[in-house]
Amino acid sequence: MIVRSIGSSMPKLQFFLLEGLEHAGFEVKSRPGNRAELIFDFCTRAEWLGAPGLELRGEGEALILSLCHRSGVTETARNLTANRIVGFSLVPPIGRNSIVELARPLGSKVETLEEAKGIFEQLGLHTVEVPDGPGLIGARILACLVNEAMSALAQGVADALTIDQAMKLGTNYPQGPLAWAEELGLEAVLGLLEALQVEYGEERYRPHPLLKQLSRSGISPAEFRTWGR
Amino acid sequence: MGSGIAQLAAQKGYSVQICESLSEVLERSAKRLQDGLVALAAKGKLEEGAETISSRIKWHRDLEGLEEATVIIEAIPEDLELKRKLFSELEQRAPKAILATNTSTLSVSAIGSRMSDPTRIVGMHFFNPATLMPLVEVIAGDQTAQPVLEETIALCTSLGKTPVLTRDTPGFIVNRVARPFYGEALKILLEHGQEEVLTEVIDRVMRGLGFRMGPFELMDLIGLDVNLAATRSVYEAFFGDAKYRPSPIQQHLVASGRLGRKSGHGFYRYESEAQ
Repeated sequence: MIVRSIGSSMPKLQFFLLEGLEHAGFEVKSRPGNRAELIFDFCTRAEWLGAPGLELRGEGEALILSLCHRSGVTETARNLTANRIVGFSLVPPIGRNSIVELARPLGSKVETLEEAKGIFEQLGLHTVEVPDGPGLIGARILACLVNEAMSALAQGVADALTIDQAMKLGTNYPQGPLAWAEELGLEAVLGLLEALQVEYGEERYRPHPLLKQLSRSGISPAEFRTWGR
Repeated sequence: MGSGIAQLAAQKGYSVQICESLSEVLERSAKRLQDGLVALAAKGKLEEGAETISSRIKWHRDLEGLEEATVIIEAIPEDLELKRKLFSELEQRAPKAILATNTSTLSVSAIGSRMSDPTRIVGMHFFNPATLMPLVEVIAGDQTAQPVLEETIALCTSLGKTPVLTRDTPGFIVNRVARPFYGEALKILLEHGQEEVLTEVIDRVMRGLGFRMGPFELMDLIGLDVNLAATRSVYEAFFGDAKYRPSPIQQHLVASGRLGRKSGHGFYRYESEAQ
C-alpha cells in the first residue's frame, strides 16, 4: 500500500508513523500524484485553509487519517473531496501504553473506522473510538492543562520547573504541563485552544496571553521552562 | 488529614500532640492510626516498632499544653472564620511555635488576618495521604517572616518531603492547575451523554498518556464531594471564571450520595468499600 503525509505539524509523530509503516511493508512516498492509498493529514489550520484538497486530486479513494488537533474530523471531511476519512489523535511520547483515539465524521461508515484501526494495529498501537471534536479527548485535556499552567506561571504562583515538579509529585502526572507543552509544541497547543474557542464560543478556552507571546517569540519551551531559577 | 500528618511526624522521630475537640472523632482517629501502624509494621514497612512510634503521639481534647511546641500544623475543616479564630488563639497558646495551616482552598494571609503577629503564619499544604505523598506546598502569607519560611522548608525536608514555594493564590499550584484534568473530562461527558461507556474511554485515553489514573477513577478515589469542593473554591475565588466552572454531572452525583469509593459508588461501583 502506498502512503504519504501532508502538512507540517508534529514532525516527530509523522516520522514515527511513516517509518513504522515502512517497516510494516508500506511504500512511503513524498509527493502527490503517486496515487497514495493511505494519506496522513498533519496540516496546521493555516495550511489546511490553504486548500490541501488540491494535493489530494487523483487520490479520491485514498483512506485519509486526519490529525484532529486543529479541528474535528467532521469539519475536515466537509472541506476535502475525500470519501474515506477518519480522525485520529496520538500524543507523544509513544510507548507501550499509548492509545490512538479514532473519530468518525458524523454519518460515515463504521467500516472505514475499522480500516483505520487496522493500520494503527500494524504499528502495534492500541486504538479506541471517541466522539469527534477538536483535540478529541487527550490533546484537548492536555491543551487546557497547559493553558492553566501558563496562567499560574504568568500570575507568579511559582516558576515553570516548580509548577511541573508540583504536578508530578502532588498528583502523579507523568510529566508537568509545561513539559507537555514542549512535547506537543506551543503552536499546536495554541491552535487547538483557538479551535476549541471557535467551536464552542466559550471564553473557557481563551488562550492565555503568555502562551501567545511565547508562541510569537519563537522561544522554545525548553528554554522558558528554566526562567525564574 | 491531621492524623496522617501526626503519624508522619512521629515516624520521623518527633513528639506529637494531636488536639481534637470531638471525642468520637478522637477515639476513631486514634484507633485508626494505631491499627494503621500495626498493619504497616506487619508488612515490614516501619523503621521502628509500632509501639515506639505511637508512644510519641499524645491525644488531647483541647488546646492545653502547647507552650513548648515548636510547630503547630492546623488541619481543621475549611472554614475561614473558624481558622481565623483558631490562629488568634494559637498565637497566645504556642508562643514559640511556627503556626502552619494545611489549608487547601483558603488564603494563608486571610487566615492570619486576625493575628496580632501575622509574621508567624505559614501555609504547609500536604497531599493525601501525608505519610506517602512526597510534596508539600509551602506558602508565605503576605507578612510571613523569612526565617519562618526557611524553618518551614527545613521542617519539610526533615519530614522527608519535597517543599515547593508557592504564592498565596487560589488553589496554590496543584489544586489550581489540576482543575482541567477533571473539568474538561466532565465537560466532554456532558456533551455526549453516554456516561457508562465514555467515562471508561476517557480514563483509558488519559492512562494511555501516562497518567496513573484517569480523571473519573481519580475523582472516585479522592471523593467526588472533596473534589467538587476544591473546584468550587477555585471557581469562586476567581469570581466565576468559566475555566473552573463545576459540572452539573458532579453536582448531581454528590447530591445523590454517589461520592466514589467511600460510598461504594461514584462514577464506578466498588463492591467491598461501602461503609
